[in-house]
Parts: sequence; structure tokens; C-alpha cells
Amino acid sequence: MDHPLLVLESLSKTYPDNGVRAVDTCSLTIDRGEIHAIVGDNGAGKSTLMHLVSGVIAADQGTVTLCGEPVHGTADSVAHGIVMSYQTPRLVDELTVLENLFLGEEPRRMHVFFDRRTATDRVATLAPIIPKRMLNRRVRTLSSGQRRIASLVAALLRLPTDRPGVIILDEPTEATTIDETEQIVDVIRHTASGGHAVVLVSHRLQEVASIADRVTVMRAGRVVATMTSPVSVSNLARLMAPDDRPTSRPAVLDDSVAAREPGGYGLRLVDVSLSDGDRPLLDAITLELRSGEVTGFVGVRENGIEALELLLSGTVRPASGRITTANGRSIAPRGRETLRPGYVPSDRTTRGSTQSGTVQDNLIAVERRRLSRRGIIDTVAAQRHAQSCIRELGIDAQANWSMRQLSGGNVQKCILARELAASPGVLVVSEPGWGLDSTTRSRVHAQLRRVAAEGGTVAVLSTDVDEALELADRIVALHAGRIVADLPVGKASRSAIARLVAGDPTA
Amino acid sequence: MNRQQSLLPSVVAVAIGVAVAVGLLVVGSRDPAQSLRAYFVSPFSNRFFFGNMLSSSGYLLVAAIGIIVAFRAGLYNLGGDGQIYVGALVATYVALAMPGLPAPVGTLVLLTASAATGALMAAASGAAKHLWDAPEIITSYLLSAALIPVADYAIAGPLRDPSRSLLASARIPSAYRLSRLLPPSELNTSALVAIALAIALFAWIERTTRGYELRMTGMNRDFAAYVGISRAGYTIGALAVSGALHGLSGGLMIAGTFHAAVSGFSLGIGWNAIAVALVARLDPLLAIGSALLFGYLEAGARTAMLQTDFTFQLGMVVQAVILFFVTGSVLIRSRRR
Repeated sequence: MDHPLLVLESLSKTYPDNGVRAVDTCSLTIDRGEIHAIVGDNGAGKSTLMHLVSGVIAADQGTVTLCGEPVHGTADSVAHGIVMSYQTPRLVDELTVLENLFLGEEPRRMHVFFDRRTATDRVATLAPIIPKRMLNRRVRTLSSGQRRIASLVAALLRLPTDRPGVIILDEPTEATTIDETEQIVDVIRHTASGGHAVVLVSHRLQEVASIADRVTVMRAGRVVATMTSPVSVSNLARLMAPDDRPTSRPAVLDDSVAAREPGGYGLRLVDVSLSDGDRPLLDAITLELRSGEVTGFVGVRENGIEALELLLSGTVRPASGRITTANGRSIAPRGRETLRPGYVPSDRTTRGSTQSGTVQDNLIAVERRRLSRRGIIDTVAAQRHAQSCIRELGIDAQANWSMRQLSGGNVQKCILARELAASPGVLVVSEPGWGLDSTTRSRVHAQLRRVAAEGGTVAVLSTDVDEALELADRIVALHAGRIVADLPVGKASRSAIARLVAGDPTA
Repeated sequence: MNRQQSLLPSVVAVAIGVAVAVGLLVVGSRDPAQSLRAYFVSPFSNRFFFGNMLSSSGYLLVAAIGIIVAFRAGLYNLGGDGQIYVGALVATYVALAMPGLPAPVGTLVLLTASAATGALMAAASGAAKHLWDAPEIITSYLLSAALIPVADYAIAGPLRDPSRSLLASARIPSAYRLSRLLPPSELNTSALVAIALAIALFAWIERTTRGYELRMTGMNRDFAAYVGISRAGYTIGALAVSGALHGLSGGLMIAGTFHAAVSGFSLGIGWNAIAVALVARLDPLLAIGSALLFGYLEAGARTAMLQTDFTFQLGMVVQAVILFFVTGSVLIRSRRR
């Protein structure tokens, strides 16, 4: 018991396709029977670090050792007793829960048949969290919380029984009901008391503070601190993104903000709700987005930001309630009586761009009709349009390049350039600074503020509170599908907001 | 994308197919030299063989660009074979039912009927996909597989001309037949129609706004929806156009070569068209060359069969080998992405 169970030593990983150093010389030790939480903002490197431990991603540098033995690759890590439950449960929809739990290592009768009785008994003893009647349901029919539990149990069953193992849980309580969360927390405690180590990746800071023995904070790929319980939520929030970052608001822009007309609204949400099955995503939101203003929505993606993005952009319709523009139109990507807002989606490569097309294909997509004459694309106009987009945001590519050749930041620039060029009255931007260097980032910010200054309605959805504070005139914080704060930016303190979106009611 | 690079798998697949043909002829034939000459040279040896080769390439080309439209929209129309056959049957029926029309009008009516039939068949799959998310790759195949025996029955039963020894309908009025270009071969104006259609389709896909929207839909359906491109239009519409071209190919065969619906006469062409489209990397202009190549290989197999102990099945093996390697390379490429 002298040496720790799991040792990570100066692990590093740079993604070759976008050059992002996701994990930067991270070292960490985890003990037997410990619940060790990893927290950090989106993109802090938590998931990458866990993938390095489980061997799904190969590290550029550094080592992983378990009980003093080096671990290489997925198969090796499973053999050593490192198991993982992923953020998105990896289950086969068409198989039953029981079949999923034992997928690949089914107990067998006569070496051939799946021995359901043995399997059922094993679940009953090792993981009574799953009720017996759920075992024979197809995964397709489960709620997101039930899937999450099934995925957790699938990992539990793969833990070694004769020696301590490591179970990595990536957001285990995401998308679960309160009851399910309690059950999961019980299982986590039980597993740790049995001698296994539980590594818990979560952005639910309160939960983390209440169950973890130690908490490691990551920021920009590095381990910032490891603290022993008890830890305070506000402390964690401060460490995740420190307050000392200077907010750079160009004075010129602030003048133009002061000069604009107050009062007019660009987009109005009345009693808007949305749910995923029986889980509410947004709960009766009523809100006006004013024209001439940048509204910054902050929060955890799953706690309403993602749902709001889909609604504001017209991608999905609200389950109830209405979203209308100032002149009474509804919003949708297409249609005669609707407005297509300018929209930079969080899903940049599957929705925001077509990877198999050229840069020009992507840049002319929204304004294809304006760039055509009598049904034929005006090649000269299209090229000119692409060139001007490339120049405007300094896209590091030629118009005829395949989109696949571009780095993540340049893809983001293409999407931004295209949506800005269409000069929309309403602009919905998810994570405007995603993948951008600081110069481009401020250029993009300036452009978004100009859209607002010219009377446009700009909604920025961000999990990065600092960027929202830097860019927006007004901050709307969401937690659990509800608005928990709605303030002019001057009155918003970053730490208070960070606590609010993490679900700390004392903030 | 570099075109030469992207054509490499096609060239390799064809080369392997030809090598297999040579191998089979050398191993399986009693007189390899004679068989090789029959296979590779005889299609050029006289006007009859040469014209027939061009003619069958033409029909193949129309069906191939039909497949290209579907593939470029990201849709799989596997019902092409049936669309051709049923389209041809309906064209024959219409021509027989309205024998008194002036010549060009009759031909036009017959061809329109064939195209409309194919379009309806494929659009049904498109509608099922749009409304119920039914995979068109399955429904188009099943619908076609179900209608082929119905067409067989019509040809063997109600439409059969008892005065002929074949399982075939009566012959369409001679005024409706397309004019021959290189007698005594079958080559007729349909080959020119095929080339014109391939060029037109190329221009449409590459230059027009709707062609652009079709391409974007094929590349990424979510992206297309996000920029406001109609999902229904490029699901149902693209499949309808694909089916129309297949049906038209069947109609052209009736008006150009067969002049009557013969039981099973066109079966297999729809599948070969897929190979032609894939070898051409879904480019309608390259499909002209690729259709000629397939027409040549098939003509070689036919002449070798007539002149030597080579059997037609061997010719089908060659086409199967090409199809196998070309689809294999497409799958490998898509996996890498």
C-alpha cells in the first residue's frame, strides 16, 4: 500500500489535425479506494487525458503505470483492470441491456450459448443498481439516464474481482434524474470502498465537492492543482478559469454601443420548452433578445445551452411556446415565411461545413441564390465572394482547397465568414472563439459587435464565461434548463456566474 | 481533388479485370491465341460488331448517368435494373396501344412513358425515405425485384405475340423506331442522345444552383439542411431523375434495338451501370469513356463466345471482377475518411 495504484507521468498529446496541445505534461497519482475527480472547462483536456489512460488515444510522451507495471494501449489497459464508461454511453441499441453488459465476454453454456442465468445472477450480486426487469429491455427503449446507468454497470462488471482496478467515469451523472444521480453516487462510493479507484470526470462541481476524496483541476491541457477534500465549489470555479484575465473591450466599440437605440427586440421567446423524452432540456423560458445588443448565454452545454442553440437557430422547434422575430416571422433554416438566422453551430464539421467540399463550396452555401443568375452559378461572383470571405477573416487556405485540409480554427473562420457575409438580422453563434488564436478572436469579436451596432440581434452561446464577458452586453446564465441570472455585463462578476452555472444556489 | 489520383483505383480495377479475362482465356480455352484475338480485337473487326458495341455502350451510359444522379445526391438507387426493364415494357405497351401517331411524336411518347415509369418507381422509394426514413437502398431494390416478375408475366401472357417463337411482345410500329446510323449494326441515334445527356448532366451538376444543391446534399445532408436546402426535393427529386434515366434507357433500347419487349432482355444492365458509374468516379463525362469500356468488354465476350469455345459466363466473370475491385476501392476510401 506504499505506492499509489495508478501513476500518470508527464503525459502529453497534440492532435495532429489541428495542432491543439490537448494534454500538456500531466502527472497524477491515484490511490486504491480513492474517488478522484477531474474538473475543468470544456477543452481543458479532461477527456483526452482519460483516453490516454484507457489507451484509446496513444500519448506522444509520458507513461501510465498501474501497480508499478507500464500500460500500453486499450487491450493492455483492460487486462490491467482499467475500465472506462464514456461520456456518450457506448451501447448497442438493438441488443438488450443484459447482452450489452456482457458484450464480448458473455458467460457461455456449452461454449456456444449466452448463459443468461449466470449473467443475470452476476449483475444481481455485483451491480444491484440495475433492476432485474430492465435487463431484458432493448437499449433503444431506455431513457438517457438508464443508458448512463447501463454503461456504468458494463464498466463495473469488467473490473477485476481479485485485485484493485481503476474505473474511469466520464460525466456519469449527466442527463440523469435526481434519483438516478443518487443511485450512481452510491455505486461510486461502494466501488471505491471495495478497494478500486474511481476517476470521476465531471463538471457538476457541487457533486464533485461532496463525493470526491481528491479533486484535480485542469486548464488548457495542464494540471493546475490537486486538492484534498473538503474543497469548495467557488474555489474550484476560480481555479478552472481565474478572474485575473483582463477583459479587453475596445473603447471605440463601447461608444457605438452607447449610441444605439434601446428597446427594440429582435427575437422573442415566450414560454419556450424543450425536452428529450421525459427529461426537460429547457423549462418555460421567456426572454427578449434586443436588437443592437450581443446577448451572451453561459452555462453547461447539457444544462440548456445546447438546447437553446438548436432553438434560436431554428434547427428544432420548441415543444411548446413560441419564438418570433420583430416582424412576426418564425425562424427556420428554410421556408417562405421564415427567417434563416446567421448561425455558427457548435457542430462544426458535421453541420457547419461539408468536409468533402471545397472551401468555396462551403463559403457560397448560404448565398448560393444571390450568387447565381437564372439558375446558373455565376462563377466569377462566387469566386469573388469566396476571396472576400478568405480576406475578411484571414482564412489560411485557397478557395479550391478541400475543406478537409483545413485546421479546426480555419474551419471555424470559414463558417463565421460565410454567416457574417450573409448579413443576417439575427445571428446565433456557438463558441465564437473556438479554435481561434487571439488576434482572429478579437477580430471576430469586433465583427460580431459591429453586427449588433448596426442593429442586428446577436446571441452568443458559450461555455467560456470569459469570452462571454468580453463580448456580450448582457449575460444570461442557464442551469438545469432555466435562466438563473440575466444581467448587464457590467454587473456580472465572473466568479458569481461560474458558480451559478455550476449549480451553486448560494452564488 | 486531383483527378488522375482519384482515377487510379478505377484503372487498377479495370486492369485486374482485363488480366483475369486474359488468364481465363489462356487457361480455359483450347486455342488461347484465337480466343484472345476474338475477345480483344474482333469488336473492331467489322462494322457490325463495332456498331453493336457502341450501341450497347449508349444504353449503358444512360443508365449509368441515372445512377450518378442518385449517388451524387448521396442516395443509393439499386432498383435500376427493374426500372429499365419495366420502363421498356411500359414504353412498348404505350407504342402498341397508340400505333397511329406521327413518327417523331410516337417515339417521344414512348420514351416519355419509359422515363415516367422509372421515375415513379424510384420516386416511391424517395418518398418512403422522406416520410418514414425507409432506406432507399432496400426499398428501391425490393420494389424493382417485385416488379420484374410482373413484367415477365406481362410479356409471357397478355402482351405476348403468339405468332413469334420468342417470349416477346409484338413489335412496335416501324415509324417509332430510331434510325440506324451504321447498318447493318444496331447503332442508332440513341447513342447520340446518351452522349448529349451525359454532357448536359455534367453541366447541370457542376454549373447550376440546383446541381450545387444536389452535390451539397450528397456530401453532407445535415449541412445541406442547415444552409436551407430542401431535403424532400433532393431525396424524392434526385431519385425520380435517377429512375427516369433508367426508364429512358429501357425505352431507348426498345425504340433503338429490340423494337419489342423480350422476356428478360435488359436484365443485368442496371448492375453494370453501377460499375460504369463507379469506374467513372461519378463523373458524367468520364462515364462516356467508362461505358465504352464496358461495352467493349461485353462485345468482346459476345464475339469470343460466337467464334470460340469461350462461354458468356466467362465474360460476366470479367465484369464481376471489375465491379468487385472498383466497389472495394470505393469502400476503402470511404472508410479512410
